Amino acid sequence: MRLKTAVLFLVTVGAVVLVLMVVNWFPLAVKKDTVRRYSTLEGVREELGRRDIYLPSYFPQSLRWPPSEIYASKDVLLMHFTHRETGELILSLSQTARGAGPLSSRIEPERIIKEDTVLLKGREVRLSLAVCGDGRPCNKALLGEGGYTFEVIFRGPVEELRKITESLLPEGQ
Amino acid sequence: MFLVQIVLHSAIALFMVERALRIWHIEEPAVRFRYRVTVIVLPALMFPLFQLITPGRGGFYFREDIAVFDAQRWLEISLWGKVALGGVFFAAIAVTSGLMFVQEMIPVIRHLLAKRHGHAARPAHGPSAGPETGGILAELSTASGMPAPPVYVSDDETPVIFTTGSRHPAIVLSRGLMETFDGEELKCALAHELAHIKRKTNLTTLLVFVFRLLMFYNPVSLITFRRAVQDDELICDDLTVSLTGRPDVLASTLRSFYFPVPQGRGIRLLREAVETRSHNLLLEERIRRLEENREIDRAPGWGRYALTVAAIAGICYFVV
Repeated sequence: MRLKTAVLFLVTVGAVVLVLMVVNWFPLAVKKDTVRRYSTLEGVREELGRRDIYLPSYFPQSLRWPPSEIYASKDVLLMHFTHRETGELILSLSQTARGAGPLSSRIEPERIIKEDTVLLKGREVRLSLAVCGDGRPCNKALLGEGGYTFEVIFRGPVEELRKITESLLPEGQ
Repeated sequence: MFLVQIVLHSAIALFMVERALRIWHIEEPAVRFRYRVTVIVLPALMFPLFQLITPGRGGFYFREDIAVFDAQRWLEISLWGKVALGGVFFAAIAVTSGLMFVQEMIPVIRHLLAKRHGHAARPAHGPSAGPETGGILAELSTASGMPAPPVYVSDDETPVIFTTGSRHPAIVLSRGLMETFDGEELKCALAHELAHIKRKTNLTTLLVFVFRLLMFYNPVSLITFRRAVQDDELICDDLTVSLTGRPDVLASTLRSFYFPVPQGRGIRLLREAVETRSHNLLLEERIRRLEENREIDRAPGWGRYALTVAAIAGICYFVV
């Protein structure tokens, strides 16, 4: 195998990858309502015109702000938060319009230990005590509010999860 | 998404293989055949392997973070706000499947039914092939170092010759062919069929056809399978020339297999015209190659092949 032809072949491989990347980008350019990654919440508000973003007013001290990842479309918003010191993903917060397909979180409870319905600010919240694949707790809260379904998954004490979820909800009903 | 990925992977494999054949000037039919079979077989094997390595490969985060191409983005696009591109894709898949059924499955089913009712292509009690054919075959068998297969004659005026069976192969030739061909031409035709038997073409083609059948919806396999079959013919042409030493005679022999293109209207006639034209074109390519009789690089090139397969697998892993 001569070096020249080997290089030419590798250039072809690179060109194919490049073309695929461009072709992959194209639908995002023409289709505005597809789920895509945003770097800031301001970006989501500006580009999607969304004024209905729910954010908790309580965050545990260990959490780093802003979100490490934001995925959004007109119907879906998913945020991931990391630990301030370790950088580990510890909180996931999703807001999905009713009837829209949910976006799965990077933190997925693997085994549910106990499930219960609790009242937070007068709303019914489905609380799941669960563990992730590594055996550590990752508890989940599921609730409906203002035409949206919210899913909060937290790798930490359930009390903290309750506080986060409660602070997400507006006062009264 | 399985169907979409298989078709995409096949298209990438086809492109990479055709580029590799060009870049490395690979002209040896046996090597080209190997590359083309790869286009048919590799996508069917890659998908389950990739899923085994990365079970979450179809998930959102793989598509978002790792994949270089995500077909779902395209399939979700709707044309003029009415027709989803996914629908168009699946309609195209349905057309390809229909073509596969009409062009390849119906003849196979007919053949199997004929075999069941005792009308097999191999005539059990056909007239004798004659001493001349026997003598030529004995000479070729000695030269090729393989036993002479039985020869059957069919009562057909059109010049036809083919090999049937894989475990106990036999050559079937038509009365028309025996009347048309002189000794040298008959020798070339028989040598070509012996080459098919030596290469176990029927068995190889059957194995590749199984993969082709598994991917009945895949237009890329449909095209590539035909090209692989053509490569197989070229390999047998080369073996024929090595046995007879007469590329010129084989070229003139092949000319007898040109068929007149049917004229007229109607879908059936049109289909036959396309088939015949394609058959004649393939013959022309073989004849031109024999007439040129160029020296080509016959190295197996396993390093280049490994690099091509690795490149295809590497790219396709990131295409979901």
